[in-house]
Amino acid sequence: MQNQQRVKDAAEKYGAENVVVILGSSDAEGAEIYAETVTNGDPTFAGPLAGVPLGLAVYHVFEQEIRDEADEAAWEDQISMMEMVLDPEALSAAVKSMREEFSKYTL
Amino acid sequence: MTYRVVHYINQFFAGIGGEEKADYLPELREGVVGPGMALNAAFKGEAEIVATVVCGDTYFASNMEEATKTILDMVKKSNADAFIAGPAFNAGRYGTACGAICSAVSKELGVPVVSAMYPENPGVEMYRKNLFIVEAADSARGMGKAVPAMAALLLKQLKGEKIGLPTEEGYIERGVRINKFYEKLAAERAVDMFVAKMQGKPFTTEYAMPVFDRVAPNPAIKDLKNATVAIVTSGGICPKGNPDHIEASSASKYGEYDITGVDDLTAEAYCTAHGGYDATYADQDADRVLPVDVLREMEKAGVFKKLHNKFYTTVGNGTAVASAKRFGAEIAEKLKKDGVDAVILTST
Amino acid sequence: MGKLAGKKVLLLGERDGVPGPAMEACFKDSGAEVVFSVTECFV
Repeated sequence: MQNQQRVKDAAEKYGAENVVVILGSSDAEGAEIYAETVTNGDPTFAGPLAGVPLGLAVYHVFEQEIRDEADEAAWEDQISMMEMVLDPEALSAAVKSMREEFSKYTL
Repeated sequence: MTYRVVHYINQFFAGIGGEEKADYLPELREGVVGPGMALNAAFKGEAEIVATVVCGDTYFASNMEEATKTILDMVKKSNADAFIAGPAFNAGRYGTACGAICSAVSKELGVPVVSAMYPENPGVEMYRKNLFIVEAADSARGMGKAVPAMAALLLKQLKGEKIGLPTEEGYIERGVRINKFYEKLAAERAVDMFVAKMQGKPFTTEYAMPVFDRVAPNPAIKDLKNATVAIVTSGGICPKGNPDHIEASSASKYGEYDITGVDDLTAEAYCTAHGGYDATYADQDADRVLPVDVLREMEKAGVFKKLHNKFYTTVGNGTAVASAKRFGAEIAEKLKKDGVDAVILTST
Repeated sequence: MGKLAGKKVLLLGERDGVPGPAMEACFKDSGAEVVFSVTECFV
């Protein structure tokens, strides 16, 4: 809940068009829900973003556009292993589908 | 005419807090709160949530009578045409609260009600006969699917439209049997079904069989002489007076009792709580269901090393399979911790 | 500088996925400002 509030506050403070959310979710269903929450509003209606569609630019950290922005050495060190354990394609697809449907802004 | 609806939610969906705020007293708020937004949208203008009742799950569970009375007054005051609770998904106390308050509203105020729960929510077994409970997922992820079905069912009731079968409308079977005319005689239909089955063709059963899981037995004890044996029963044997109030039917709990130094169960100290068989003989001599006397003899004779000093008991009469599973798992854990090697399970 | 330059970034990491600090390490020099970074359940 606090995280939903923080996202809401950040969008208000900096302007939704300037905010980018990057997810590190481990499963596609979870990624989809978080992505929907920051774009179309909390689909479970349990948090502050219930009914509040911020339309933020949201990506999964494994998506190419985000990956390209990362420091290579740090990525190799910190993230490359998780890439092998998780399903980057499914995760990227899940977030992308929400972004294409609900985001008002992109990178 | 827009129907006036009152919505009931718990402290979590009202954004007040989680477990730590479950003692929240019933509060009436104007308009929609949380999931009410989604329900309102689903009504598409035909109905409107005019007020929301927020109540803590623990408060409701511990003060059912008072809470129900308070909330009924709130609903009356709001001039509600209908009442909607949840969705509760798999939250047990929330589900029982939704079921209880919907039942009360339906009975006392005579207006249409609806709720939504995951089929294994205890609220389903307790209240499905009293109201339509839409089948929902086990978590709030299922909000998007549950809401339209709830709204549709409520509107149908308000408009006096015919409510179809559970599969058509998306609610959990209430156990209501409706007579129906078929063109073919039952015998012919049965033969048709049988022929289809033999030919490997699809057929639809007219009566769904319950599904029971199969549990493979564990390997036999090789060294009985050195084994610690425990006795467990679903025959309801308990200390006289049933101090822990194990129910005579649909038990919600099991008991754990110490038999250190007890060689024989007597009518003065033990009885049965079971409501599914004539208690006379078990009350006279509980060993007939829980054979402590014979086991003590065997223990003395060295057939096995030790009779475990505790026995576990519940009543197997109409007990929900899910409850029985839970009792079994918990009892097994305790027995394992206590170093028991084998269990003798008696029933009735 | 890439696409993230000048953006305000919110990192929502997961313990069993990619945690916040891991992502922070990768993007701190991207030209974006990391407004906050968490590692836990979102809701």
